[in-house]
Amino acid sequence: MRKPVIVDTPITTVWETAKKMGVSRKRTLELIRIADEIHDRLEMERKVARAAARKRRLKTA
Amino acid sequence: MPGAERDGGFLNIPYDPAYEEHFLAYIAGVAAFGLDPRATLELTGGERRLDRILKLMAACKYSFHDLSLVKLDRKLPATPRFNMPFELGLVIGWQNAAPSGHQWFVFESSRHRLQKSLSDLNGTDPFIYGSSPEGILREIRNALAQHQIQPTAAQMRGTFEELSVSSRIIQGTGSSSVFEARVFADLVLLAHRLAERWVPGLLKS
Repeated sequence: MRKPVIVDTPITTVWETAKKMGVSRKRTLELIRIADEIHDRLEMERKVARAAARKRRLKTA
Repeated sequence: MPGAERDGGFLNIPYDPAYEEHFLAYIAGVAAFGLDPRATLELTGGERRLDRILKLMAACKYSFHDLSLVKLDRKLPATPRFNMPFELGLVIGWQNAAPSGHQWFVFESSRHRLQKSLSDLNGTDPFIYGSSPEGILREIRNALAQHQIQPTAAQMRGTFEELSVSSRIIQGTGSSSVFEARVFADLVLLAHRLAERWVPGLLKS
């Protein structure tokens, strides 16, 4: 019988460092989720701010 | 000491409430270069502290020594902090005795003060960052100008700003300061993740 293929987590700095620092997989995933949520939210806010600034510039031109 | 690993950045900075934002800037800045921020905060265990500090330094390719805290603390008896210059001295002594390619950088907030506070370092150009976290990011970029990965100023600033927001979230879950072992480990992982989002070249797969 063939052994199941285990797909490992991608080797990124986060996972390498988590392993080195002894941080659990669960906590690492939680931190990745926090970081991604913050990055995506702030990125959206930056986009909205840029669009608003562009609109203001066009109005005053 | 064993040979240095490639990817560690030892942060020798004051663990002082006034330096929390600075500390985040160092962590974000170093992570944006794909380096592992390391600090004595992560040292737990029974081995003699000095031995653990030496091992930690030896595991790093770079070290960043912030010598800007030169005042007496408020707690009695009022005392200056000698740990930062002492750890810098350890690195310099180690590198003179057994050069391993480790590079050390001295950071100061005020121009010319180092000539007064540590005149033995005359001839070494410190990285003067003013007083802002942005200044720290700028000087980390200057210090690591020869490093293979070169994040932009905007990428470093973005990583730092988002790490600041993240730090408030994780501190809201029961810790009182960023200068705690558990919080530091979290911040390092958050910084790596944020840096990966900002600096595409950092992703290995």
